Amino acid sequence: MTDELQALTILFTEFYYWVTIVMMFLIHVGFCLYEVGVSRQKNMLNTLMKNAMLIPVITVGFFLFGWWIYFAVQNGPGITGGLKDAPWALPWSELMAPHLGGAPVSSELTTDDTFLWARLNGVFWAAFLLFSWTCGSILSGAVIERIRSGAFWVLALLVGSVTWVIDAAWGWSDSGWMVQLLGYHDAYASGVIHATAGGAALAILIQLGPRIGRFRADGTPRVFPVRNTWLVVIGLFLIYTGFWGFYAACNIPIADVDPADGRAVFSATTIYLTPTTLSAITFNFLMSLSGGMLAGYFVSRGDAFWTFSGGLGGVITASAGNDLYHPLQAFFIGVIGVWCAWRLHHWVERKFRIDDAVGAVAIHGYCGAIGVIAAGFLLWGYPSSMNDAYAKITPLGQLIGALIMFFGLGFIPCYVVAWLFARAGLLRIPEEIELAGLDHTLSAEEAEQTREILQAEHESWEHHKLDEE
Amino acid sequence: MPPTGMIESWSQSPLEIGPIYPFVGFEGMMVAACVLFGIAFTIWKFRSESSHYVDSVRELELTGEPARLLKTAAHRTKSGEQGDT
Repeated sequence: MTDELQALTILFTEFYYWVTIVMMFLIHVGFCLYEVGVSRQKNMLNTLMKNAMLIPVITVGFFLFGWWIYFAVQNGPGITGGLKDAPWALPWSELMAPHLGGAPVSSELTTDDTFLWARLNGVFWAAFLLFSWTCGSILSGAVIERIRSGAFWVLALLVGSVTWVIDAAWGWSDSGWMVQLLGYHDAYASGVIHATAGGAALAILIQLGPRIGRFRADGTPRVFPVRNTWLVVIGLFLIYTGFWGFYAACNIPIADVDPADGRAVFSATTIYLTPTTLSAITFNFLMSLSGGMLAGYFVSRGDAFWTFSGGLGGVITASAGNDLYHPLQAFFIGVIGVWCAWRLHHWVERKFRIDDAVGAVAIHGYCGAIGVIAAGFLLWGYPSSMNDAYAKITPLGQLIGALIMFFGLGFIPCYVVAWLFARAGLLRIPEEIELAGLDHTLSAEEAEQTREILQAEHESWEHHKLDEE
Repeated sequence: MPPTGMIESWSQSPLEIGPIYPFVGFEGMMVAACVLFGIAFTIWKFRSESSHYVDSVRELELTGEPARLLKTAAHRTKSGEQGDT
């Protein structure tokens, strides 16, 4: 990099994503606190470890194949073209490692590849990876207190490193086939992350069944009280903070957005390379958060859990179009999304006996899908990307997109895999363990260790007394 | 011992420096090792988790713990206070 402006652009972009990645880490911290706060005492440590260990599991999967999938399958393949070449994203590429951007060793790469990707590949990869962890965490909360960790990690790997990445390639890239043919628009991932993960969570919940005691004999649900409201609330505040970083991570900070040759106008852009500003998304993030919190407070009559979750739901509902909405539109979409999700959650819970421990299907799945569809009406006729030849945004295109996200890539793959695990007896923990609690062996070990220490202290005291005598 | 990496001196032009990690050219083998590690970890996790639950259930049965817990649950179900799911 010998040109100062070019160097500054690349180095700033590298630093920008690095900061967003650190901010997004708070999402995972928040999810851990939140889930542990909801879990009963007898399952706390298992809940923490189940969620925390999805970090290495998904990270390795995303390194080995997830990042390559994002670039390779943007055409389907077979819908608007074949597999795309992405030599910089293959796990054995020299660009998937520390590289200073000089001439490539591999013949598969060009000097243009090394110049662009040497400093950006790691931070782009990690930004997407943090989105992948979020997908895994969305599943994690819904299934607490009765799923086997091994099965859960495989399902988290499926969603975090495969299915959500496919839908991101299709609908969350500047030339994915859904953007080209459907005019699919989902700037801050209402559908590609939240609807997909929510659909996946619903599929697993159907196979997994409810926790013992969750429903009365007449089918009405019994509420498991939140064990630690403070952990839950702090967790959700941290998720809000990380979510703000996620919004920034969805943008490209500096790009030339002027189509005219020989002239350059720089702006932040969305993932579709359409111009936007950090101000725009800040307005809309906060207004949709406010709409969701107010709606959550209203429908739950001031319940802390649903009020804070409602804030998250408000942002998720408005996210598909939060690059373009007026802040008050984002606000009302947040209100409507959370109200609909609340109603749907309780209807599904009663009708189908679905035990979603944290309301993940509602807040992520329903809000996400509703948000994608709402964007089709509000942004009807807008261009979906910088390429005028691609389809424009329409309600039908967004409806099809929402169905692909929630059912096609969210629900169906996880339903099949969870069904296989259930058939093999590998999905759910034994009833005895569920009753005793997943941490019961640890409790027994702790009791034994405490007893041994007390005995040693007692013996020490006896010796002390004998010495004195 | 030959050097493990391609950097002979940091005084060369940075424009000529590409990969800076050791053992360039062995990436495929490292990927294969990582895949095998992932598969082995998954198999170990499924096996150890299953055997852990078997042992735990046996232990609980020896202490009469599940019988007590299940009896309580069944009693609640019968009395209509609590469903079995």
